[in-house]
Amino acid sequence: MQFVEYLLSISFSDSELVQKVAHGDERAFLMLYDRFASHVYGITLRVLGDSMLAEEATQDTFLKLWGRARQFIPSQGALVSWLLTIAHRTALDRLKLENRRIPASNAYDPEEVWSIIPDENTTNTDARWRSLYFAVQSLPVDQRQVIDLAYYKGMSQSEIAEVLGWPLGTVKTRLRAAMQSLRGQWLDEIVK
Amino acid sequence: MSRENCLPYQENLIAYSLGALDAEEIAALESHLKTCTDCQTELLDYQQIAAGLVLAVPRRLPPSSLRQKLAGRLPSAQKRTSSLFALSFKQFAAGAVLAVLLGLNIFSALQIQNLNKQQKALAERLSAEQKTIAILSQPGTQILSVNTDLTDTRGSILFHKDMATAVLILWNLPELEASQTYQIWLIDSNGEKISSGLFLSSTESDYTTASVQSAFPIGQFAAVGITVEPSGGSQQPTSSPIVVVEL
Repeated sequence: MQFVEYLLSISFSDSELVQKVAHGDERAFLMLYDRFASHVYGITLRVLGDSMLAEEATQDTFLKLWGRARQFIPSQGALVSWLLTIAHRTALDRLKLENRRIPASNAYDPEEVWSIIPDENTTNTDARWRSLYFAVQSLPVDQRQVIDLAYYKGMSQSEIAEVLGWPLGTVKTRLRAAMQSLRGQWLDEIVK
Repeated sequence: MSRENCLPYQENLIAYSLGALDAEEIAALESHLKTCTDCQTELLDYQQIAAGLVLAVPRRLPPSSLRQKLAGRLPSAQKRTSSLFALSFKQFAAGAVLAVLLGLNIFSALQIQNLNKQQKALAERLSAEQKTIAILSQPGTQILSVNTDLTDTRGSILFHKDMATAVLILWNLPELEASQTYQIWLIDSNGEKISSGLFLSSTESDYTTASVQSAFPIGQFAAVGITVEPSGGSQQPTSSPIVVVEL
């Protein structure tokens, strides 16, 4: 992206850009791409585990943004949350299509998944998500593992039990413990 | 509703918020949620956390080519592609018109060439027929029958022994292949054969007239013969004569 284009893009908020996109402004659309492509590609790559598939899912996600920009309501949340929810669902749909569920032995690589610290954009929303990120990092490995398979691989509790060779009750217990821990820290963050 | 009633559903709220609840348990939970505000509130917390998990993933830079691919899917790029196609179509159309014009030119040139051939053949025939009249007008002109090895081909040769020309008139002379021609030979008493003209059978009428060209009076020759030769003629006969007339 050229420097002038970058300076122009930072003068617009996400909501302003998405409104322009809703009116067919391709330049605004590419500005949003430049702003959020790494977020979207990050989640699609995390879900799909394949760079080619992740590229396609990223492209599909942004094409959905192009087609559905009018449906975005700023008062209901941040654009990045809306966009990444679309990206997450798009990637999971593609994962089901490809039937590419990874074998249990390679199911989880805590270092690969959680080792990179997200960019520190300073908004209140970002601060909360960042806290959540650190909260996830602080979970025991077995709890992070079930969250990873459930949320990022779209597996049901029964499928997780089968893949990891754990009793279903163990999966449910670890999932509950992980989410209750996150919920506690999440509520604390709201109180702050 | 007492929270005790919620106990069987509470652990499922978590799996439900993550999309990890087994299909057979979803209906029961959703039915419970319709009447339980406490569970609805708790679910909302978990759903917010689940939504936050998308942001807890590290960012990754996609390949730079992806931006170009995406830009190529936008309407303006599609229009450019269409206009490029239209340009290509125009070029194709122009090329097609040029090809047709070139084809017409070649066709016209062939037609003109064909007409020139016909004109030349007619001119030769007219010349031969004028010679026939001229020869016939001379006292002492001889007319000899021409018999050939060909079934239906018959004719005559008109000549005056003191004149350096003669005319052959042949009926039903077969048409030759494009690579062939009839060639006339004047044969002296020693058997020497001198080329005396080329001709093709007439396509306009049943008879063909051909001039016999000579540098000497026809009376100096013993016979006249006709052979089939390659187009353009030969220095000496290369095939057996179809006609030999003793003069």
